[in-house]
Amino acid sequence: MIHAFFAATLLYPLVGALAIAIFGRGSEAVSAGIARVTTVIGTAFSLSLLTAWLSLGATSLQADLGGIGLGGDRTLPLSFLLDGTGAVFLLVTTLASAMVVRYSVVYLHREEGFTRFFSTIYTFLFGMHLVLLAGSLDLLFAGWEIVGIASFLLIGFYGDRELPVRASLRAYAVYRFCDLGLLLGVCLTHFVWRSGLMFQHMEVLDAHASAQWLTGFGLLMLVAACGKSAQFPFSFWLPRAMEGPTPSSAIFYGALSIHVGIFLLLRTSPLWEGSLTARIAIAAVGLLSALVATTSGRAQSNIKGQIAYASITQVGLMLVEVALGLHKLALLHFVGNAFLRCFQLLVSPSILANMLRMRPGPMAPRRSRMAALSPRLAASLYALSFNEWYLEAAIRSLLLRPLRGLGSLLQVKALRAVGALLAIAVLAAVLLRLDDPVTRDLGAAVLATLMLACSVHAVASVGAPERSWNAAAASCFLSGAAVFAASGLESSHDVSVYLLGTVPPWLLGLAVIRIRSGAGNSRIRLSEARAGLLLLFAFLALSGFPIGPAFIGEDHLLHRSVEHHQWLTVMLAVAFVLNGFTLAAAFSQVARGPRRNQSNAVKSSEAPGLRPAPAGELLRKYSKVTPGEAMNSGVMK
Amino acid sequence: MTFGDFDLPASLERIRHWLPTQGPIKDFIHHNTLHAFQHLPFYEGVELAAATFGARDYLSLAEYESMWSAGKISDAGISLALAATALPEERRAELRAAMFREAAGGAEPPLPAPDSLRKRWREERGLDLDAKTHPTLFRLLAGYLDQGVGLWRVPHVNHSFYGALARWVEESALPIGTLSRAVCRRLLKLPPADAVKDCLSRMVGDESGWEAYLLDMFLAHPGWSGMVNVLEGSPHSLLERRQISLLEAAAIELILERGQLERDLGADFPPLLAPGTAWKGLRGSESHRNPDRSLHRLWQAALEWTVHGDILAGVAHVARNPAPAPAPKAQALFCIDDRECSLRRHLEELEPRISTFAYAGFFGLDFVFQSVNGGVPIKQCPAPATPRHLIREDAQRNKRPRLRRGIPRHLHSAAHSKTLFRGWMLTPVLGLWSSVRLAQSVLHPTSSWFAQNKVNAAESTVIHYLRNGDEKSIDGYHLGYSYPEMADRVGATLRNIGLTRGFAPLVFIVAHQASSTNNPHFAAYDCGACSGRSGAPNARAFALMANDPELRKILLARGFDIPAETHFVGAIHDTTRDEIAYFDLEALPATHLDAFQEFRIAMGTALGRNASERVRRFELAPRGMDPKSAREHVRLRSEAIFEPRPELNHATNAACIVGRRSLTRSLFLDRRSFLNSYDPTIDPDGDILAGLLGALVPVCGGINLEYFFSRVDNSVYGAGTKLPHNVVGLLGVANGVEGDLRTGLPSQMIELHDPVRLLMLVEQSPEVALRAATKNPAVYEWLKNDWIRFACISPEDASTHILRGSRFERFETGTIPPRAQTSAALLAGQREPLPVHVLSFEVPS
Repeated sequence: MIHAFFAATLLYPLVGALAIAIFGRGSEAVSAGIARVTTVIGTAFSLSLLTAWLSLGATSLQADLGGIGLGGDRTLPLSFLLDGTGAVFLLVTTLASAMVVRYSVVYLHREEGFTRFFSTIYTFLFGMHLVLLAGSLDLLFAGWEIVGIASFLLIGFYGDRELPVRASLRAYAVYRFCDLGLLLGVCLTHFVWRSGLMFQHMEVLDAHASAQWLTGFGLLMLVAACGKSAQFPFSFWLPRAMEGPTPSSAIFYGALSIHVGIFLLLRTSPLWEGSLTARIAIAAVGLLSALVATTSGRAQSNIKGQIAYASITQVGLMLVEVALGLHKLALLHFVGNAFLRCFQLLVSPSILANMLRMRPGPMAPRRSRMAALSPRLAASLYALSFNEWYLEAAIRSLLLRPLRGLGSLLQVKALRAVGALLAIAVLAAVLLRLDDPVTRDLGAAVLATLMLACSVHAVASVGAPERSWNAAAASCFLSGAAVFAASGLESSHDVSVYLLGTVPPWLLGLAVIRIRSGAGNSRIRLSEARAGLLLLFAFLALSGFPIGPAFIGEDHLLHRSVEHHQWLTVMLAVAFVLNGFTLAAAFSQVARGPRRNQSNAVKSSEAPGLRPAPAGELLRKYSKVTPGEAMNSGVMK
Repeated sequence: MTFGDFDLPASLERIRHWLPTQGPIKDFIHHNTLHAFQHLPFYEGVELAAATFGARDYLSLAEYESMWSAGKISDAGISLALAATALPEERRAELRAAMFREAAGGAEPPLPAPDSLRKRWREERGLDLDAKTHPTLFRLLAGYLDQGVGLWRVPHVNHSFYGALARWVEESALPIGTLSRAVCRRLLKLPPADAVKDCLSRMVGDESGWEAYLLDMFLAHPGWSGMVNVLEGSPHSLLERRQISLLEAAAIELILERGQLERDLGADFPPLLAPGTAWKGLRGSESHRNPDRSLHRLWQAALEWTVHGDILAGVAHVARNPAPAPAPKAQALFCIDDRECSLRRHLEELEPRISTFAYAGFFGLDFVFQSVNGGVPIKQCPAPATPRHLIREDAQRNKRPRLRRGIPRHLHSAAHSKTLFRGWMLTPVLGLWSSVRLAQSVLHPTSSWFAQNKVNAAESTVIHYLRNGDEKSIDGYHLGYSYPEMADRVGATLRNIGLTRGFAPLVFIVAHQASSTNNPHFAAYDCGACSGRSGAPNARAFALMANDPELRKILLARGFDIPAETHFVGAIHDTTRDEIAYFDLEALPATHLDAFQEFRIAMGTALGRNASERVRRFELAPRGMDPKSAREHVRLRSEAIFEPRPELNHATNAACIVGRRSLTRSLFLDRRSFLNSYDPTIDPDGDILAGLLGALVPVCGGINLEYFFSRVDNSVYGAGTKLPHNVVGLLGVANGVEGDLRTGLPSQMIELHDPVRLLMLVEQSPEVALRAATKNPAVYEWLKNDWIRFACISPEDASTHILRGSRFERFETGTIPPRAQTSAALLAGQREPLPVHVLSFEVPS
């Protein structure tokens, strides 16, 4: 019975998302109907699971729903867990999402992308439920990625304008970078305990590991949390992410997605709580974030940016509470903040009327404590807040610019040819001397280095979609080669699964990119929407999103390497994270971006088909009546 | 440093001309989006504007064709459009064939992008300046102009924009964008005009390109440029005063760009124009034209003729077959607003002894209003007027007014919740409270506490309209009107609508307003004649004045014989909720109670019918709603926080008919027409008409063309979809946090609108109409250049004439409009717009 509740709660958003995507295409009424029904049924599922949890003593409820065979003797156990923390988060998720769906069904009426909006929202909810109910860190990671991708898609919901596309990539870049923390955390658990981290056994595990591993684990979790929860030094992406429809901003950055970092820390706290270093780091980051956000928020003169920073401030304080061990307080704080910011965002368009019409007196300049400061200090403090503590600029020049500089070295064609030849030569040498561990290790090192070079090159080539797509794919293939070299024949199955999962999406994506860019005299025509969908699929499959074999393959590769070649694991993780970002960027460039003059931006008036005609053709075609004649005759008076 | 003889002020004056003129969104004033092109004939202006702004000029041919398939463009309309070409018959047939052939040809090539000097930074130097400087610039502007969103103000906000920033940069130890680079600090010490010239000569080079560069720069963010321009001209439209000018904004932006260029291209980057090369192109000059658009023009004309031909035929038919009108037992004066068109029809259909009039909804009273709820005095008259009188609302003695203060209701938006420590204390409590409010607002919106501007009969307040002396308010307004001043205004209004005799015992003055929730564009839904406000104070004041025995004496002396038993009642109609409230009923004489009750009941029924007529256009409303559930539905729309379409506002407006009610009383116009009462028989010289046109042309024409252009290109002329909008500084809306301010109307307001120019039809002979139209050159410009189609119907022989160029031509209204028994019978089961019908409900004699 409990199993059924778990399965139902977990799966209803996925079923809803798929149903809307399949049956709702082109019909707002059908999409809205499915969304409403899914919400009602889903709320019932969630509430019955919560009731069951309460009636069974409100402690910790588990369900093992079998496992996914990964080939060989390995399985990914589908084990789920609901405890107090999860229950509070699940309740807020269920209620807030139900409200937002009901709100959006009317709010998005007649909007282009109505179907897309709801299928993405439900995909997000699926990811959210997976995060909240996961019994292991591996499963949580899968949900974490789904939440990230849904966020990326909804920030870029209005993909025909430049700003949303840029904002969505900015957010996704931060997500990917911080996912490195979670990915390495997962690898660390496999390395230290030889198995995935099961949340119900954490107290036992604690005893088996040395203190520095636990500290390291805590810090990795902190890095992961900082991305999704927009904490220091990554807080800059959140206000800029307010590009989607208001309800999507409300559910992601007011209510739910912004708080998953807190959930992750609460969930894994038994492991790192013993480490003072980790606790101090978490509290320090939280405090710093709160300080950055509260000052930056004061200099925001737009309502959504202000609410975003208010939210970051409170999440920062939650980090402090979590670090201090005040879990119940943090939970209470979360519930309050989630509903408050969600509501504030939903009614943010009202601010004008509230402040103008309801205001009892004339606008008097607010008393400000700034006045008490010396002018120089006040000016500097305002500059600091105005520039949001220069965090974006700092991240760009510390992380992105060196990466791009490094990658642009590889623009030299000859260098790339040398790299390719080297890869082939090393692979051949490894194949010839499979039983020599030294050759294999050396080969793996070279291949992994080349893999990283490809990833970095791909980052530097963002802007040239085809090249960065290929470079990222090459990096994927090299990762397989490196693992093969390191582990030898025993890994051939894993590597082939991985290649099976990456080659088709690479080719698919390449084809779409070439067709869209008009290269290769292709006669195939792809509509914007279809190309976007295909490319999205290719990008997700290639970057190891849990929809294709590449996901299992990626897991294999990491698992293989973690046993004997931990340095390789770290390199693989870095490469996967970088590739995920570049593939997203290539997707954005090809399938998104301004397309003026093609449709009228009003739903009822879309021009059918896409048949670009040269400008003069139109005139020539009706040359019987000369245009000038019609014009001069005063037609158009 | 000296710079040739470049005349910067003159250059900025020319640039000013191209910028949008939308001010702070709290007073949304509809205007012709393309006012800068109004000196040109309509089609030429539209096409030149498209080339200048990189916008669309018309719908696509395929869209027109699908409107033809859907019956929105009729064959008769196409024929009328072709007939206007005056080409020989066979040529017209060829053109007609070409119209359809090309429409079937699939997507059209995009119009060429406007020639731009500034885009060379990107195309030749690989630097996307917009992406780098706009976010900082917008935040500087928003931070400086902010009217109350931000908790901190830009330092030195009491100085001018340039001065404040220069001081701030000087004092700050930390950099502010690129403004803190050495070169920028040096420039900021110069007066803004010198800084502009210094930057232009360094960045552009040859002076021939300076104006083009400035224009490119401003048009890259039309929303903010326009806002700065408007605020420079009318700083009083801000509540917290600021001092900003286009020159200062240009200086700051150029300095930002200069810093960015030095940073990214090195300090020795070459200017855009090499020495000795001149720049020839300038956007907006006549040489910039898009390819031939004759077919688009024809389709557009066909769409308009379909609608206008229909209306002209209907009016002409009624004029030729006049129906007798019974003596009225009540009269009601409404606003000219197209949304009142259907309510008046329902009211008269229900009770033919009610006769209705219409006049601009400020009813001739130009004042600022000080509400009992406090706040700054609000202007209650059309945008161009400058009121000199203030009318104050006060609590009635012995009664505590029900104050509608918002603080407790809007606790969640309290500033403290967004700070660090107080936010920490408040968040849990406010959060739990928000969850309750959220659930309630989403699940049960009727009890939402958010609805702005609900109908309020102001029962416990009085207003002071009589001026007792020469005392003035702090802002220099007269406190009320003297009797002669009242007589001027009330008398003029009554004369203008032709109500000088035959007063009924009850005369209602019905103003209008709109309620909406969670809607930054709320002002665009209210009464346009009251500068985007509720007209309630005007209706109330008008009725009180007209009932004043002292005023009646003066009016009698001026020829208005208002019987002693006639009583005026002010009222306010909420066009979103279809509700009405009456003012000052305690002053109603007991003898009038029965008549009032009768009117009130009729009005209640009419509002229900009006609501059911309106809900048919809402896609999400159930079909076939009875009046009761329809009113419930529209009420819900005004209160739901998730409703982006509280009502459809002026969508489908297409005409303005100025004349006696007998012309339109039995016409079903499907809410397409503004109506203004006017009696041609008391205006032989056209003086009254000239006055009316002076107000109607800019107001109705402005509304019509704003809808027109927002519909034609919603992303350039309109505000795009309102769903991602973000309120910036209480000044306007932007997409997200980093976008430019959006001007024009959001897509939700115009999606059901068909872009049709306004048909201004006046009941007057061609000679008098032309004389009235030419009196005011500003008005005549709209008409002769066809931004409004001007027509007249002669009161003598019911012949119709259309203005072409500068003279009237006879127009033959061939078809006889279809008939229907009643509005209800006609509307049953219909969801689409309907053609003009003649209603044949019973009129008792």
